[in-house]
This record gives sequence, C-alpha cells and structure tokens, in this order.
Amino acid sequence: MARGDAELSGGHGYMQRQSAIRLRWRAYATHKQLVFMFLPGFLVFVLFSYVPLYGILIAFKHYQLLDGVWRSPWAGLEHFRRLFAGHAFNQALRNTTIIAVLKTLLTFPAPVILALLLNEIRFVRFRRMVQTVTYLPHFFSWVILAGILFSFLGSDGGFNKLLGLFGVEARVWLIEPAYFYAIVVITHIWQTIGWGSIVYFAALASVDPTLYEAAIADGASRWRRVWHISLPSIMPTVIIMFLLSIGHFLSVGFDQIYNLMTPPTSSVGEILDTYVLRRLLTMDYELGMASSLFNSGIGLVLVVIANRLVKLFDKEQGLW
Amino acid sequence: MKLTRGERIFEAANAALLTLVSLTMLYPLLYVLGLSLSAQDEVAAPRLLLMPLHPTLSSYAKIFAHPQLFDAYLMTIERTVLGLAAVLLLTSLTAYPLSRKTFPDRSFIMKLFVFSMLFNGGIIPTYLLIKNLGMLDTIWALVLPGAVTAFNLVVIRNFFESIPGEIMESARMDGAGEWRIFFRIVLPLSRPVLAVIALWTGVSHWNAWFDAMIYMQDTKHQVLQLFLRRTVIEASLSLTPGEEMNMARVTYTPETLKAATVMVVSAPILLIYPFVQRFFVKGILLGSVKG
Amino acid sequence: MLASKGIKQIGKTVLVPALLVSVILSGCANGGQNEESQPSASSPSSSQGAAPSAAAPLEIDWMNGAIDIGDHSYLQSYLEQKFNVKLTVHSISQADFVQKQQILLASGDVPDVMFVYDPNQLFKYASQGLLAELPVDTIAQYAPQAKANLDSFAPQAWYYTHYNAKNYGMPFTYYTGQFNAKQGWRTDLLEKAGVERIPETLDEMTEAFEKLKQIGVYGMSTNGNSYYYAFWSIFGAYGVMPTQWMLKDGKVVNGAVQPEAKEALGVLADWYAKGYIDPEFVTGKDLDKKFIEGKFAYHHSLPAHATDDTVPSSIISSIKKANPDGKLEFAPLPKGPDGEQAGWAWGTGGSMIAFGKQMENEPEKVQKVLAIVEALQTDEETYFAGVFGEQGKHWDWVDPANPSTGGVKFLPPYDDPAKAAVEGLKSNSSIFAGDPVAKLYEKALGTKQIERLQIYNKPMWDLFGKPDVLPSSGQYWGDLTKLKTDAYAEIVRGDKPLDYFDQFVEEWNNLGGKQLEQEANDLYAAMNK
Repeated sequence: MARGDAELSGGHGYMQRQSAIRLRWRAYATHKQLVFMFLPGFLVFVLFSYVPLYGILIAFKHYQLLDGVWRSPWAGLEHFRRLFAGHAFNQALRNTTIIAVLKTLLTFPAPVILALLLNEIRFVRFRRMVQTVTYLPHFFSWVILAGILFSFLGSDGGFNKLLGLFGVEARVWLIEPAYFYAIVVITHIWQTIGWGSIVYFAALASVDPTLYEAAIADGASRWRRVWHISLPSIMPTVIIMFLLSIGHFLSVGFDQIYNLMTPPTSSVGEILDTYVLRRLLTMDYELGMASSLFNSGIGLVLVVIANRLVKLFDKEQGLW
Repeated sequence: MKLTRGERIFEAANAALLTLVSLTMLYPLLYVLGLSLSAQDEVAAPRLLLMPLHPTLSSYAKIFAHPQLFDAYLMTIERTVLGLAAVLLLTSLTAYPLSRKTFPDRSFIMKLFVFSMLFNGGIIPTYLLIKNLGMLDTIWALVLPGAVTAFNLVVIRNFFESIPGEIMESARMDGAGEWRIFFRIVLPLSRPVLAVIALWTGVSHWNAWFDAMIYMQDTKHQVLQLFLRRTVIEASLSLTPGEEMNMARVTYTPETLKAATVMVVSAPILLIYPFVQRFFVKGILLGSVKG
Repeated sequence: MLASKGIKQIGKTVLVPALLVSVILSGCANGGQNEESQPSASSPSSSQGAAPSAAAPLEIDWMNGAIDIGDHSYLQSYLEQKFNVKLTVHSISQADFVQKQQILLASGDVPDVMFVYDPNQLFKYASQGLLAELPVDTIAQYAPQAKANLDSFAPQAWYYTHYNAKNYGMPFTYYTGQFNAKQGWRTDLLEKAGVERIPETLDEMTEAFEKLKQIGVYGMSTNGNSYYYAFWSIFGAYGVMPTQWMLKDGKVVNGAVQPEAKEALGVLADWYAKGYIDPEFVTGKDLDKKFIEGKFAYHHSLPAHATDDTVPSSIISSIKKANPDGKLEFAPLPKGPDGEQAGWAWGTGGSMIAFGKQMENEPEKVQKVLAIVEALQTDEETYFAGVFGEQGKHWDWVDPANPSTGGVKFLPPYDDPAKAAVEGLKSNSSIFAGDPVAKLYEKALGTKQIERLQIYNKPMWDLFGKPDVLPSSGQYWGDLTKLKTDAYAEIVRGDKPLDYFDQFVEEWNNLGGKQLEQEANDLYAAMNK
C-alpha cells in the first residue's frame, strides 16, 4: 500500500479532513515529476474507459434510443430475470463453465511450457524459426480455421488417413459430442500457444546468464536449472498473465465455438455467448448488457480472489 | 560443454516435438497460400502438397486492381504507426510512476485500471463520446481509445518493478531527475517488454476493423481488415439469410480470391515478427547494465 | 437525446479542425468529407429529363442500401441533377450495414430515409419512435405505379412495414424471390451406377441411391446446420416447408410441426440408416466441393447458372476441370407420394425504406423520395440510367442486335463489381429503390436468363414472406429454429426415434410456438379483413 494511504489509515485521533487533504497533497507534491508523467496517459484512460461506463445502466433500463440511457425508464432486474430464465440457460452456463475450467487448466500453462522448452534449444536459428511458425495460427480467423478443421477432421480428411495407418476406423470427429471439448481445447491451444508465449520469451530474455553459468559450475542438472532458474524468473510474468486472464473466465471464445458447433454437438457446445446471440434478433441491447455484466461480475470476483491468493504467498506480486 | 546421455535424449526429443508442432502450424498458411495460387475452376483438382499443379497469380492481380486497396493500406499503416507510438509513450509514462512504491494512491489507481478491464459501457456510449469529441472520421478515433489500456499498463508496470532499484537509486544519487532516469535507464532496460507490447499493439491495430467500421464514414478511411471481412465473412454472413439461394446471383467471391485477400492483408504483419525477435536476445538487461 | 440541431452544429464546428489535422497527417490530397460544405461534383446547368427549376435543391440524407460507393459517384450526380436534390449517400458494406445503422440511430443521427433489410429491424425502429408513419395512401399518391406493382406482385410485403396496424415504410419487391434453387444430378455417376433415368419420385430416388451406394457414392447431402436449408426439397415433396407459415384448412400453421414433416423425416431417417446420406450433412461445409468431387450425386440447391459451362465459376466448369467426363443435369423437384413438389423460395417481397421521425414535418421530402423511387422502379430510362449507368460507357446489351435475349452486361472496367460499386452501380437492383417492376427487371436480365430461372420452378414461400415477422418473434424465434435444427438432425441421424417428433412438437409449442401461431392467425386475419 502507498505510504500516503498508510499514514491516513493510521488514524490520528483528531485528524480532520482538512489535514488529510493536505497530507495527500504533500504526497503528490513530493512526486511532482512523476505526477506529470502519469497524468496525460491517465486522463486519456479515464476519458475512454470511464466516461462511457454509464452504458452499464442499459442493463437496468427499458432502453429508449430517443431518450438516451439516462432518461430511459428503469426496468429493475427484469433483463437479468430474462437472461437467467431463458430456455436452456443452465445448460449454456454449465457448458461455459466446463470449457472455461478446461481452458484455464490446459490452455493457460501451454505457452509457458512452450517458452521453457524453446529456451532449452541451443541452436538459435532453429529456436527463432519455431517461434515464428508457432505464432502463425493466431493470424487466421476462426471462420477460416474452422473450414480447414472440418476438412482435416472430416470423414476422408488427413486425420482419418493418418489414423487409418494404425487401423483406426474413420470418424467425423467434429460432430461427435464425446470429442467436442477435446477438439475445442486442443485447437485453442494450437491457435494461441505461440502468440501467448511471446511475453515469456521476453521474460526469459532478461534472465541473468551468469545465473546459469554458476549453476552449471555447481553441477546442476538441466532439469534443476529449468526448475530453479528459468521458471522462477518468469513466474512474476506468469502470475500477472494469469490474473489478467482470469477476469475473462466466462468468455470462452465465441468465434471458435460458434464456427465449430453443429446440431449433434450443440448440447455440449452451446455457451452463454451463443445463447445470448440467439436472443438478439431485435436489437436487444438490454439483454446483451445484462449478460456482459454477469460475465464481468464473475470475472471481478475471480480476480479479487486470485489477487488475494497471490498476495498470501508474496506481498510484492499481484495487480494492486 | 559435455552433455550427459539423458540430456542428449532430451534435446533430441525436444527438437523433434517442436518440429512436429511447428509443422501442424504451417498447415493453415500453406493451405491458404495454395488456394490463393489456384485458378478458380481448379479448386477441386488434385494437388501436390497443398500447392496447385498450375499456380496462377490471377487472384492477386484482381485484388491489387481493387480501387480501394491502396487507401486501405495507407490507412492501416497510419493507424498502426500512430497507435504504436501512442501506446508505447503514454502507457510507459503512466506505468512508470505506478511502479514506484512511494507513489501516492498507487493501489487505488491500479484497482481503477483493473476494474476498467472487466467492465465497459458498450458501443453506444463510446460512439457518442467519440462523436462529441469531434473525432468521427478522424484517425484519432482509432488511435486514442486504445492508447492506455489496463492490460498493457499492468504488463509494463510489472516489468518496471522487476528492474533492480539500486540502478535507479545510484542514478538519483548522481542527481538525475525522474525524466532522465525514465528515458535513459528504465526505457533502455525495458526493451524486451516494450518489444512485446509493440508487437501486441501493432498486430491488434493491424487486425482491427470494428472501430474503423463504426467511426469512419469516408470510403477513403476504411482499413485493410474491412476488406478481408467483406470478402471472407460476407459470403458466410450475408444479411438476407439465403443469399446463397438468390437465383440471379452469378458473381460471388470465389474461395481463391478470399484466400488471396487473406494473404495480401496478413502477409506484412506476419513478416514483422522476425524483426521483433531481435529484442528477445538473452542477457540484454544485465548485459547492458554491466557493460 | 442528441438529435437536436444545436448539438449537431457544435459537432460540426469541432469536426472541421479535427478533420484538417487528419488530412494533414494522412497526406490525403482530397480528404475533405463534409459533404454539405462541398460544391456539387459536377453541375452542368442544363440537365436532361428534369425541368430546369430555380428552387434550391432539397437536401436529403439518404441511407442507401449497402455498397462501397465512392465520393463523387456517377449515380449520385445523376440523381441530384435529374431530381434537383442534394443527397448525402452512405458507403457501408453489406456485412456491416445493420450494425452501423443501429449505431447511427442510437446516437441520434436518424437519416431522412433509410434502407431497412429486415422487417424485425423496422419494427424495432418503429417501436422506439424513430420512424415517421407512412400512410399507404401517401405511397399510392406519389408512387402510384410502384404501389400498384406491390399490390399485384408482392402483396405479402406489406406485412414487413406494418407495425401496430400502422404503415412505417415502403416495401420493395424481390424479383428473384419467386424462384426456387435448382435440383441437379451428377448424371455421370447415375450412369456409372446403372441408373438410366433421372429419378423423379422419392421412390425412384430410393432405388437410385441404393445403386449409387454400391459404387461408393452418397445419394445426397445438405446443410443440416441451417434451419431452412436442410433437405427442403424432400419436405416439399410432402407439401410442407419447415419453419414457413402456411395456410391449412383456413388456419395459419407452421410447417415445422406438421405431420407431413414427420413423414418426410421418416424417409430421411430411413435413407440415413441405409447409408444414402452423407453423414457430414450436419456440418453443411463444402457442399459444392463434395458435389464437384463426386462424393454425392443429388444437389438440391444449385444456382441457375450451375450447368452453364461458359461461366468459369459455375459448378459444371469445376466438375469438368476435375473430371472431363463429369456431367450435371437439372431435374424437376422430387415428387412425393401424392405427387406434390415444392422448393424453398424467399418470396417476392424484399427489403424496404423507412423515413426518419423528423420527416413527419417535411412532407415535400417524403414526396420527393417517393417520386425518385417511382421513377427508378417504373420508368425505363431512369431505371437503366440509375442502376446500370450510361449505355456504351458503363453497360451495353450482351447481344446488341437482339437486346431482349441476352440482357445487360457491364462493360470493362465496370464488369468488376468493386469498380461498378464505386460509381453506385450494381446489377439489376437499385441501392436507392430496390428491384424495379418485373417487366424492367426481365428486360435487363434477358430471356435466356429468365428461361433458366423458370425451369423446374415450383416455389413455396412463407405466408408472411419471412417467418419471423410476428410481434413475439424476437423473443421466441431464435430458440425455435435451434430446437427445430437440432431435433430434425437427431431424427435423421437416428439419435432419436421418429416418434421423438411428437415430443418435439410439444416442446415447440411450449417454447413459444403456440403463442406465435396465435399471433400469426391474428395478423393474417387483421391484414385480410
């Protein structure tokens, strides 16, 4: 916590608001240069992130375009009721949670592992080539990737031909509910792993090489070097990336699911985003905002919990 | 350096695994490239290793003849360059004070940033804001709203915090002001993270279309991704359901042209990464400090 | 909200310096885009067709149909001269149109006139008080021929613009909506399988499919992921078209829950179990590609030019390229047990225009717009000039000696749709006034094309044109179409037995189907008093 805050909460018995303000003013005044650095960006941030925030009210209003957000009549929690009471909401919530948990457990660590593995490659050219290639799928939209996947995993696609060599019977993999989550998670990892690992490459680049040299001199095995030097060095970055991603826990990748889902897999593939989309036939801004608020609320709770957990282990880490 | 047998096996297995993974990731690129080089009526023809038997540049010729391609390229380059400059300068300037433990209300301000990442007011209030600021149909509508975001700020601040405090302390002893410390010490030491942020920002500006679609009226101000969207998405997301059954429709976007558009739009940004990689060279941080 | 003139003015004064900055930065030579502050692009004093008038041109903010139109398009100057107006046109591509329109409306920038693609959007705008009422009598008075054409060619289109018993817009006709997609057989595969004649009934299809199976070819495929596309020709053979509202014994019912649909599903489930249907039909991907590759033999949704080997992008061209012996023939729609045949069609009603609320006080603008629409739809000279451009420069007859057979073609470079769009031109249909009367549409199309469209045509379209135009459609339709798509796929695949259909009907009714049926009957009764 900042020093100014600590002094204020210290609570001098008779301290008045006046002196509190004076104290804070002095805290800012002693950091005049820093304040000037800070302000331009902060003002831009407030302008574009906080001024439009009143739009959240749409979720609680009967939104009339002509009256605007403020003057539209209140609707209370009606839109949330509509959101939660719609047909098969529970199914959508359950599927979303399953996919979210799977992606958090499996997709999130994947780029960390890739970065660590690549870091062990000593041939620089090869390492750079792999880095470049793994980041390619990020640039293809799911419309295109889905087309490629449907043909690769189709009845006479490449995957079946490959499995045919081992005598496995051909299937249309993407339309079988049993494999849907596996395909969603694997293709998601495949698409994002290279892109996601860039930040870890950068973190590994700033590890002091003398640490490795010392470890080698001490006879530390390669495994111990990864475990005791590389991993701890990028751990702060891993934690930050985790905290940043957990806030979007329920956003499990609309584009991917929407493009991969077919009628046979809809019972496992229907997620909150597709559920809401079906209801937006008539510019239902209120329902859209209610659903987005629901996602944000869950995200907020998770971020706060995760941040507190991190602080339990290390007070220096965390988002705030 | 002598390797143990176990280490040799690990190295070989590691290299093999990474090669295999890389090959699967080359697939979509080769697929789209192959398609873009095919003649329109040859899409279904047998092909060798994804490449057509008789490659042709006719799809590319068609795209480069498009009346709006040049303007769109200019606009995209412009927004990417300005957007990069705005993000790197403003975000790092804002992040630096927040990385200093003595900065007042630091924790509260960080909470403000994180909160903004989770909640947003939707399209309409943002559009009204841009409109009332008089930024409709200007480049600023594409550059400023994303100039300082929580995500970038947190990542940069986190890196700044990891810079050993002694380095700055000794500079301060030598009488350096905050601006000097920031530009002469902090920024140069932060090259890897700034490279990452630059890459993230550059790519997201290059790939962005929604803001341009909303804020830009003039055809000359359309960005490159809108092109892609029009050719690739349009067919699968037509307004009137059943446009595919419009019987008089003879002209539609062939797969080959879509693929070529993907290549034309994405190639420049794909080629940038190898240049960014140079900033990830080991030992930049301490090497430059000690040197 | 922000519709007031004052704020608009403020917006403009801020806008101009900001624009200058951007122009300087972008190095754009002519980046000025404030339409109103610019002198007209080309304003020769004598204009053909319109009486020279001293009156200042009417300024109309017209949100035209989706097109990537350029700054100084041919079409804009043509219309401005001819009708003595000053137009603000909008350049928006198809994929973005709806979203952009809604944002404009939500931010208070309601255009004077706007193209509206879907009745549901019009209803929403009207319910929000954004639209001016447009009495049908006003249309009859200022666009009499267009109105008469609607009444005779597409009377159901009036459902699209009526909201709470008031009319809020002018619907356009949709000429090609009267044709169903074509049925095609790979006759080379049929021959190979030993089938001598193209099957015409479902029974003959069953036989042919069995023989095709022997040579490793599927009988048919479809897009089972689409609520309307899936197997429609088979349902048509039983006289229903699932999710379309239809009249049955004087009552309005939905085809999706009729016993006839269950019968058709029985046939399909049987076919699937026997291996006649491509198991990937549920993905709906690569249909044309698989057909070209000869994976299945019967395609129920081909465009009219599919068998034209002079068109390089046609199906037959691709088939020949992959396999020189490949053959493709159109066939009649399959006949059901009672000899019924029908193909899905979207009907003759199309998109529409609606007027912003502010037009209630500006009748002269409404009249002007209606006059322009009337001319573009019914006056031959205006239609050709306003849709295809100048003869000899933008377009010409395919066969000048015999204009009526070949119809119109764009001349290079305007044969590239992107280049034509810059000038505001688009085949056949106007971005301001939609399709013209049938006579003019047919003249531009040419008899050769029309014959092709008319072949094997037994269209069936929704009683209301579009199935989702009922008051509660927004609430229920999304769930209902998903329920239908999933249930039909499950029954065909054998995941659920045929009798699951009865349970599906019950669920359909509970999920709002019953309510919509009631509304459909009310609407039908109200409009046919």
